Amino acid sequence: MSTSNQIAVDREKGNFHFETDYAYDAGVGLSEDVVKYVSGVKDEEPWLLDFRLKALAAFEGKPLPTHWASKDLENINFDQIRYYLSKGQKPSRTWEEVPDDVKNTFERLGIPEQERKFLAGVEAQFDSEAAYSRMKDDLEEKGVLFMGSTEGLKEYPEVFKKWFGKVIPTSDNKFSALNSAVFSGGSFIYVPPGVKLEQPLQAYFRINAENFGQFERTLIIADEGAEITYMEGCTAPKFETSTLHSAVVELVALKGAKIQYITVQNWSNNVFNLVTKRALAEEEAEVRWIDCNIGSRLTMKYPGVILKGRKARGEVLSIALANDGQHQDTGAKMVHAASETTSNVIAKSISIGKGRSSYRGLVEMPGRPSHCKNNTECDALLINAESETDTYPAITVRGRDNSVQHEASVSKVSAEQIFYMQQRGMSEPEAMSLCVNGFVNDLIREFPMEYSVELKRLIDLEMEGSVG
Amino acid sequence: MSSLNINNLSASIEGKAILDNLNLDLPAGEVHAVMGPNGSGKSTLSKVLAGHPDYEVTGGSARLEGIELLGLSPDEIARMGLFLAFQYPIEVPGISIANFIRAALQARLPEGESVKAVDYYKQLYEKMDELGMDRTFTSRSLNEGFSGGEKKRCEILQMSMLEPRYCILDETDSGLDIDALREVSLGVNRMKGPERGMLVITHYQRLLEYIVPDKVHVMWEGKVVLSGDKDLALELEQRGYDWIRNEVAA
Amino acid sequence: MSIPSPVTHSESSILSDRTFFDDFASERSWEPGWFADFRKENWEKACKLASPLRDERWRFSQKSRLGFSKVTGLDSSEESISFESSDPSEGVCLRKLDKVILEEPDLLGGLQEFSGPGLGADESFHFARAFFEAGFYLKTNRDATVKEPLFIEHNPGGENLARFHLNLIELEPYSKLTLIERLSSSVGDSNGFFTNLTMIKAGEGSRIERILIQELNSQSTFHNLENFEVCADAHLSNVAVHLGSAQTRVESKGCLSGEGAEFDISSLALGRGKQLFDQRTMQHHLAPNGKSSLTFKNALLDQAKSVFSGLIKVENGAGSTNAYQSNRNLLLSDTAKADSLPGLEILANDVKCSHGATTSKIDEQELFYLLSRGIPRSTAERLIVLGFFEEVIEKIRIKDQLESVRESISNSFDT
Repeated sequence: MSTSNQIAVDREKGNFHFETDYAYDAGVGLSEDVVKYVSGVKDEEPWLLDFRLKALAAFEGKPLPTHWASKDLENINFDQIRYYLSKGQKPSRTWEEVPDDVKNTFERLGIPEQERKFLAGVEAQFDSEAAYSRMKDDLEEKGVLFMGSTEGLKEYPEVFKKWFGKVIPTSDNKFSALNSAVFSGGSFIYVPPGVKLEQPLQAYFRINAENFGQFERTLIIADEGAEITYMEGCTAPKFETSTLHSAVVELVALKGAKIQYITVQNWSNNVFNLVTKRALAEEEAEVRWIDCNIGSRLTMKYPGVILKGRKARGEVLSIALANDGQHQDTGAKMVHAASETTSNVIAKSISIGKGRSSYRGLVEMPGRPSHCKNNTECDALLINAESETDTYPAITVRGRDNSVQHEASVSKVSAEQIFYMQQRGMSEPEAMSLCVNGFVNDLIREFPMEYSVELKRLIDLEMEGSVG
Repeated sequence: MSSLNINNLSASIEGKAILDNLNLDLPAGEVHAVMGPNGSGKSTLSKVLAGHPDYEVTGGSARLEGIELLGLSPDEIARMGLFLAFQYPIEVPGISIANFIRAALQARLPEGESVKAVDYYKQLYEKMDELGMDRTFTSRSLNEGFSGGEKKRCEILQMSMLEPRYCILDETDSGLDIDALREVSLGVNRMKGPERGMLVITHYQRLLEYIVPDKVHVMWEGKVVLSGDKDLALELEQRGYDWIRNEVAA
Repeated sequence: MSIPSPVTHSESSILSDRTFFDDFASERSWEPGWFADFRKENWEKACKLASPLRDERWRFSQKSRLGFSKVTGLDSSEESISFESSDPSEGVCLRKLDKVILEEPDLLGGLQEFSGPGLGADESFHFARAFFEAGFYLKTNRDATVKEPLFIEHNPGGENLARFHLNLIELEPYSKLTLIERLSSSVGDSNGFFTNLTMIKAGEGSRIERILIQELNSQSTFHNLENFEVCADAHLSNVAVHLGSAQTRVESKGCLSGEGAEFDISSLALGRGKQLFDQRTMQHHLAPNGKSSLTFKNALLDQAKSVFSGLIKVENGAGSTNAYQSNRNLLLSDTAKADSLPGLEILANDVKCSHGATTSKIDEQELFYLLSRGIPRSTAERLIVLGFFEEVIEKIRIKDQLESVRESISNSFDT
């Protein structure tokens, strides 16, 4: 089997770039002035500027986590990144009002079409701010809030402030601190008690400018008994220099609420994707992260659930695909802070060419809560001789009434399987694709239909040229 | 008086009532069968009598030769002479059958006395021969990787070694082919005697062809609704449990 | 905002005092010059060690409990090691290390090329190489089959004293050996500090079974550092039984350096009171067709704590590797705690690797089954724990040793 490169056909979909004029530009590099500029453009209240400046200090005080993480982090040049770019317009409620250059971008990505087909609402972010935001009218009548974080902070400060930064403290890690200093965009969603959204809400994040850093901040609150599915997608053109995406996503599921958060990450492979995602689950609430990482140069992302209320349930379903020049460092965190809480983690990774995938997990059962259960399964598939995979779980259990089970395996596609399928007339890549699809199939089945189709297509494209 | 007396026994699991004022008397020297459809509470009855912690007794009594069983720990009940042959014997890794039965016998001896190895193995091998069990079984981990038939034989082996005064056989026929059924039944029949009471819990009549009961009780929704002699089992086989439903409804 | 300094120094110990070392060195001035240099070089390394603030190799551990700060001196008394038979069978040379240093120091030439397990306990590794006075030297001849197992007994130091044993085992190609090492405290309640550094090289096609039974008293601090090299087609099996000590740090590393090497390592630890078992392992596959298997089982009562951190590392050249790692923890009290960090780093694609970790309590159904046979709860729990350990115990294929281990485990429930 050879180790030839992939033909990154899939990423070609997002690999285009229209010239755009920006009204607001924070310039290059990070400083107090840049933070003040962002806060000023948004006309923020003093407490928020204060919050941002403290976060900047926290960011500067923290070392890069290279004692356990990839040394590739050292290649991020924080002084060459542009931290804020916008056209200075409020997000439009119709596509007609969106400026042509931005609208053309989203049309080419197929966003308006998807909205018509199966979405309850869409927010489309272009660099630092949302260009379009619209939700179906009936949901608005039910009291559902869906808007950009900039608008959320302005219009519903009492809801926003209550949970903002409560699930993920500013200084949780170096990149959550960075996000807290310069955040812009992202979604703010509030679902009132008992309201159940039948269709998903979707956000689409687009990086358009070179050397740009996107720092969106998302906060989703599902009130008691509410249910919501949120999906996010992302693309960027492939520039010569690297780009940084560092989001903070906080989910709050109050008593009996259900949140499902789906990500299909398909950044071009010059993007550093360093994202902090965590949820708080109150009594009998359910949070499920479905996390697919296909793009980016280095992704570091470990979606977590703090199981804070009795019988809360947390789940992470994760698929990672690492091709040449990519490192998918993903995983899950489950903190069992209340009794009878359960969590389930299923992670599958595929390493192709010289790609590297890592699983990092954390399961914590501190002892006072009892009858907690966790199940973790991680499976890695290696395609070529130079593909790499690592697994680093950390499990802490105190007390005799809790149980944890962790299983992991590493395997390769067997030559016998490939031969068998070739003998039936399939090409080697087709056979390989089939095997890989089989490997992730049971997991993909858990995804909403529209996404599973898209994901399978992306995997097929990624497999092309990996063998032969 | 020598008997196991169950009076107005009610029990529930996770708040759901399963046994409802159940009455049943099992005198020593007799074999009684309890029959009933799935979900009628047969297995619950055996677990409650053995003191399983998942079940909550909500009323009534169960006396073994006049002594109340309910509220005692499972091992105390066992040492008083009640043996439960499990429908699904539990697999316990790392503990050999020989060591396990020996520990159970040891637990029945007064402090300071211990099981004599030579006598113990002699007896163990005799009983294994009777049950057609290979001697290599003694060193195998308890029930681990056993076939259905092997598990049931192992239950009967334990029963014959521990010589309880009252035996409850919970669906002992399930999962057995006809040869295994015959052998297991032979083992049970050897244990019949004037001092011993046996309660055979079964869904089907076929076990009762081999272990012939003195009395048959039919359970329905947590209580005994019909009692009779061994012919009742045959009648039940012919007419099906719907017949009972109609009887109860009437 | 104050930024914490990136390094801290562990509490200083008399072992890193220059006068103390110089006195020690001058007492041993009769040793060959290269020996003195070797000790000094290692002592300096130990003193210079700056432990980074965040050292993944000590994650979840209580490092301060495993240091040497309370040590007041070395225990140099003789008879810290004894052999059951003074003249073992043909084809094998077993000698006390102090005798070898005195009579034939050149036998120890290979010492310098042996590295430690390198899984975090660098301080005790270098101290052991600086201060060792006892231990053993064992070598088999090519093709020799040593029929009877060899027995070696280690005794740690007295009150507040440290003792370092260094053991070198070399199997020439196609030789076979079974080795049993027992560690027990001669003094009932002294808080001795014992470090046992063992290096085994299993030559091509050789087979070694090593059994280590640790029953130190409940005050002892124990460092057990092992580095195994398994050459082509060799088979190394290591079984450890840890019942004693107040705190134990285990580091075991197996390097499968030759094609077709097999490495099998298992351990059981029964923790009570405030015992700490800190276990770090590595299965390092460097050559193709290697096979390694690891089973670490911990049963913890009271406030006992275990940390298991294991890594399977398969290098790019090590195709057709088959590696397995399993850590099972049984928690028997509400305050017992187990940390588990089972890791994989796979750089070759033609491999079969898996690991599993479970932490749970005694299964309620199992317990009920035993109770229902009239076995009292305490006996039932003891039986289940013995059953839990049986997978490891049965690897001790010497009957009386196996029985005595079972008995020790069983008895430890009575105290």
